[in-house]
Amino acid sequence: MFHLYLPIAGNSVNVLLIFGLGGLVGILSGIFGVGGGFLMTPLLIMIGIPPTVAAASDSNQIVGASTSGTLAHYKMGNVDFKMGMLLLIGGVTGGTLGVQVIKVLRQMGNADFLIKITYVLMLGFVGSYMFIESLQALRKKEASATTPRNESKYAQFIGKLPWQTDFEKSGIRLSVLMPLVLGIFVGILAAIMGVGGGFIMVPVMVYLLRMPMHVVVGTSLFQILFTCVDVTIMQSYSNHTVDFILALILLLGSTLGAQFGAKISKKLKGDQLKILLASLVLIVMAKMLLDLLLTPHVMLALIGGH
Amino acid sequence: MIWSRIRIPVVIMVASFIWHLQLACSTESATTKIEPNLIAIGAFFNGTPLTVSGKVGVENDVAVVVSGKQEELTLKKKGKALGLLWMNQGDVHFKKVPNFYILYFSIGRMKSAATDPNTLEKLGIGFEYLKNQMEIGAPAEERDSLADEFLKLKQNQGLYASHPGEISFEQKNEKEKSFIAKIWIPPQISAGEYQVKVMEIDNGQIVDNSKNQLNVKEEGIPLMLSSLAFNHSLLYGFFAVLIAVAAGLAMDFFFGTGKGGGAH
Repeated sequence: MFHLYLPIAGNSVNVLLIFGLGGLVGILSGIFGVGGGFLMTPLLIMIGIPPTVAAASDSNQIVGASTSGTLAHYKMGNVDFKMGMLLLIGGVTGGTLGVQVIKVLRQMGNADFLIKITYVLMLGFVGSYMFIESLQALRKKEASATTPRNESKYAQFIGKLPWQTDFEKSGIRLSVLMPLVLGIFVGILAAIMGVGGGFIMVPVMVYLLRMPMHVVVGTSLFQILFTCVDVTIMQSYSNHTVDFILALILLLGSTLGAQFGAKISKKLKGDQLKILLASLVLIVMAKMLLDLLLTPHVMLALIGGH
Repeated sequence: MIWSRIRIPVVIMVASFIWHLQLACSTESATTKIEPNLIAIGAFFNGTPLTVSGKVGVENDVAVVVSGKQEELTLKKKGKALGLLWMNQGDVHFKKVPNFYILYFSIGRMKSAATDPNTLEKLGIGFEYLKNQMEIGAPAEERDSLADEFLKLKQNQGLYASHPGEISFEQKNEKEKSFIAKIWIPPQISAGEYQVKVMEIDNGQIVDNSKNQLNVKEEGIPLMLSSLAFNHSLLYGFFAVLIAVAAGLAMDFFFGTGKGGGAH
């Protein structure tokens, strides 16, 4: 009952379970502006979907969820299209470079080890920093209304860069080089680690581009939409790994979830959002660390996936 | 002239030879019945039962193997890095492994088969037999453990299974009994040709066997989508993206908040 056969995955699944999974990840996506691949792909593998099909079909569903989420955030005035486009250009360039970098790393051997360790350390660092910073900010707000920020060396440096321009939606003035260069950096990392990049992009926007948290969420979703359109078409074309039936059930859940997520996001303060996202980042890090430490059930694995 | 005289007897002899040959083939499979011999994978396919039935000697055991084509596979091997962290460490190549292998057997007189894998191995069936058949691209000392892990992985995927004692019998007369194996074909099976081999076993020896073909085909929506995905992959990709965007737009239209209102 309630089962559908997935022609590309070569297995059947319970429609309600997949719909529920999609809904859950869609809510997270709407709240935090992440694609949710870190959560969805392992869950799909757990229920018997081949890793490559799980990752590719997940990109297809993120297209739906991020369309829904971007629109919801756009209506709330939370999407900075100018910033999003610049990050996207950087991201695509970085992604293309990253694919070459990983080839070199693989040839050097032990690439998987380096990648996993870097990822765990980075998630740990970013998560802890965000957590502590937003906790302090929440406490300070309770004590005094506002605290003026000191001009740091970093702020002085980015203020001196050429081609300064206004990003009205974010309410900041920056050099166009900043989003381009940071986009390339995130694109390279995302390609190497085989993830969408939401977890890296969101902290980069918050701390390095200093955008307001709510605009970060909307803009991140806008950018993820385009990245995942590209991945879905490329995966369909070169690897035939997109299972449309799987993606369709997932996205029916996730597009709905993204709408609710955006509404929840609206109700939360910027620092509350940050602290929740920081907790989520730390949970993902802990899960990855456990995967590395616990003895696997089977000593062989299929190729692909995260 | 001579040919015209011997023509009729020769034709009769050849015809009789062919008839006997055919009779020999059909008797092999006449003892067993496979139902159905065609499995269709439709939109709601969630595995299906396959019934194998027939008659055997009253004291004998039966084994049924449903197996797919031999394949070559490359898998990631997990190992410890720095003596602490588990991760993928290199590829392992497997050759001469079936893509699907499901075994049902009775343990009437073959009680040792349930506990001792060598009993089945001698008959050319079972996981121990598969282990000895497969070729593994790894050093000899790792071969045994890798073969075990391979079997574990395939069982987790639902593609390999062994069911001891899951054949039921009904005595017909003093010499014969009928058997029935209700085999569960899991949804993980892929389209293709499979072989159903039925063996009658007497005291550790195969006394009779039959081979039947089982066809698995996709139909309806699964057939349409997989042919689109493989034959028109770019179109399939665009189509998948378009539907996803349309679903996103539709959800926003039906459940979204109206325009206006700020987050801050």
